[in-house]
Amino acid sequence: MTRTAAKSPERTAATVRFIDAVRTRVATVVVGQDVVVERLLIALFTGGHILLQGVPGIAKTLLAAVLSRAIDLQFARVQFTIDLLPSDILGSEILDQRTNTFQVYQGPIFTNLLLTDEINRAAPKVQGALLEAMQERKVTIGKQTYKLPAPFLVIATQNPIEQAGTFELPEAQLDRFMLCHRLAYLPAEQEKEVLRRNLQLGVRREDNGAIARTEFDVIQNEPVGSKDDLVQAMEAVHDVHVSETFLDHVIEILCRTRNHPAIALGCSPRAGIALIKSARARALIHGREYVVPEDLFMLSEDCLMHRMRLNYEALADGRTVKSVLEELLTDLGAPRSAATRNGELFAAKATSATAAATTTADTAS
Amino acid sequence: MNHFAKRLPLLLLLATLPAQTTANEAPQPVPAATQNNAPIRTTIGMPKEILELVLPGSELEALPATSASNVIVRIDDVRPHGTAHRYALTFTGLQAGSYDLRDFLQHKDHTPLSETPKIPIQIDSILPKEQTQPNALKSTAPTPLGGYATTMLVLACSWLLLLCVILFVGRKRKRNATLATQQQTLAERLLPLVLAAQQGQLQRERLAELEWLLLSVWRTRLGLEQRTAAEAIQVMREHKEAGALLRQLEQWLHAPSSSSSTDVEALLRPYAALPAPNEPGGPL
Repeated sequence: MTRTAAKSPERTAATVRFIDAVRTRVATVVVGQDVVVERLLIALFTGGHILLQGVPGIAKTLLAAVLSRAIDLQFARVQFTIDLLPSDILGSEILDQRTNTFQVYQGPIFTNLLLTDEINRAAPKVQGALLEAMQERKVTIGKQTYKLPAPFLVIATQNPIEQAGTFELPEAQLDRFMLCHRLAYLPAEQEKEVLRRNLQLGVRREDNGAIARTEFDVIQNEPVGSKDDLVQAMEAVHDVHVSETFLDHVIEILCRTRNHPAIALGCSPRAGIALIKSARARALIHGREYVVPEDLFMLSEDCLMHRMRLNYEALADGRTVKSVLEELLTDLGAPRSAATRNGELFAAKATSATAAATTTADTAS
Repeated sequence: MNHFAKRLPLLLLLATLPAQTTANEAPQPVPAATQNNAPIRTTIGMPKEILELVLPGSELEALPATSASNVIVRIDDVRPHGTAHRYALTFTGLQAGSYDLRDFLQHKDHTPLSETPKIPIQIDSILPKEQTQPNALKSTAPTPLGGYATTMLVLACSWLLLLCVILFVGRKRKRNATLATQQQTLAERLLPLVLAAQQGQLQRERLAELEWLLLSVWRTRLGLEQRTAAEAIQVMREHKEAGALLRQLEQWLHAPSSSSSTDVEALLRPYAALPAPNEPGGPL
């Protein structure tokens, strides 16, 4: 059964060219991070929001800035802190003393690309206000409701360390993020390239002094695409075909997360929607007119992991969500009753896997 | 019935208890035995209690017992009773015979017991004369199997056994069934699907299972079990043989309206004769 037939190959080809141009532009400033760029594009093309988890200093802000300029999008950045108020993001009514009337001041959320740095540092009230706006794409200030600009994408970041004084996002709010990508440090060769480029930045004269140039100074202002290109890409995503077999795969994974003995909270239907949307966008980015299992495997970590919660037994056994998800993906195709209803079987498999790994290590040594 | 008959004496004894308690609460002034001058009887070694015994004169105390004493007396309670005293006594006979309890008492002020009336007691022996050893225990017939406690015990044990059977036998059977399903080799599970698909008889719902199994075949064949699923599929797609076949498979299963253009029989032919676990290329 066809979800949506490929309607316009020309549009797909144009979108692929647009994506290549954006990636090339991003690569002039940001070294590596191809996967993150891909995830950002997926979020942008599907109208989802993305949460980036990673240690500081791996070019999250730079990436968002260069991406927004490459597509000619408005960009705003908010550093979340404990004393931040919802009105600091959404905006508020300010009394104009000359006219004795209230004037609406729109907050930084009225932009296309909003980078919220360290979202878990703000109070739940602020997180709730932002996440509500993300969901509804409109904001109420005073008695007036304002639509947020389109496209609207929130790129939130979260630091996996330094959890003291933070407010961890609950599962219900994490579910609002279509993707949650975990950033890692760059490979050594790419990191060396970062240093090499940084060495060439030099200083910039300003007024009577000079300041050291940063990577932000290198960002070219001329966009390589426009909002029209983006709209075209978003439409092209909807042309990507999703087969019934692929839907079966997604349902299979979702059901397994809900029945797995180590998982207390499985994936919601929203996770399935996110997985299919993301898979469509990824297929388009890779120049395909249809989604394939590779999309599922590549995106399941970003789409599903933040929506799953392990139970106490699994946590006590030292298991992680990642390992359980990996086990789920490896076991796909196995009879579900065998794989999901028998906890002992999992334990036995884990033991045998450990034994196999030990044997492999022994053989290697 | 048997059980009721066994418990009958106990029930009767319990029925008499309230009456005895009443008697203790309202004691007789002088035991009848002493008034009638009839001896108070007991057997050797069995303590006998005399309550509400009113004796004239100053307060009495028991004579210290010696090795020659035939009766040991203990005064449990003394209360004034006009010019006399009211006593509660307990005596234990050690030697059979008739005695006067006065012989084992004395006034605290050591005055003679001239005013004290005679208190005759009779100590009987259960054993015949000259017998110094206790009677040998008579062998009794073993109690028949039954009774409330035994019945409950048997029932409890039976229930525990049944519970164990329910818990462990059922679980073991289920686990065996699960393991039997799990222990099916990849080839055994894949072959019927491949054959059905080649003949165009595979249900649409099972196409997803077929695809996972084919991916598992290549993952196993290329030794990618230790890699993550995402890494493994990338390696498989880049592999010369696997990549070509998997792309055809994707074309067949996922591309729009292309199922008719894919030669399914040819596509699945390599999987129709998978190597056995002990053959090269295995285990599958």
